[in-house]
Amino acid sequence: MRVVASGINPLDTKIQVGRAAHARIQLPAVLGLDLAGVVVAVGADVTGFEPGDEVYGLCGGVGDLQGLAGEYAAVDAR
Amino acid sequence: MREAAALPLAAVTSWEALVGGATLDASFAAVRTYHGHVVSALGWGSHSLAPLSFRGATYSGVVTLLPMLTGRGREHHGDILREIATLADAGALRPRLDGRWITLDTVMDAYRLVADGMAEGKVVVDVAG
Repeated sequence: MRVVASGINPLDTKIQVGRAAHARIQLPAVLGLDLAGVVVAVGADVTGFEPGDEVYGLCGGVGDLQGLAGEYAAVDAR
Repeated sequence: MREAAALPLAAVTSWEALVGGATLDASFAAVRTYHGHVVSALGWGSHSLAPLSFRGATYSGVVTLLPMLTGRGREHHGDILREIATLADAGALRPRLDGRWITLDTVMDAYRLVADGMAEGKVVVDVAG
């Protein structure tokens, strides 16, 4: 995904100050759970999305998922 | 794109559960006898189950993050996001955005704004600049 915009949630600010154990994030980390952007490439087994699609998602920024407040992100198509 | 980026976590959480705090206790007291069901996101406080029990009703907790943390149930999030997109495209759901223009260069100001509760709506980072 090429990220065009990323929303900020209160959870991001709690992760920042180490008060969000339930987010199970390993610091240092890129923050950001919300994304709107454009599909750049899809995996071989991905259906329903193709390069150029404008999409949005809740697909990063907690656990071991890369945060979405960056220029590009690899995310789960589900 | 800015409006789309404002929706995912907030809208999915709202979709799954709308209440907590005092509203949760009020819900336990207001729910229908026998078939009532109360759902809430998290619920950090302490709550008496008696009002719920006296009605023979049930309660479920929701943690919106779970599919992302466990990898299980992500298709369900996808389904919810498609429903939300349909509402937004039809004009039935419009996110209220904070008017400030934030880029990755000024993102720390944005986190401060949210942490201090000073945002006048959802703060969105314009990553593409």
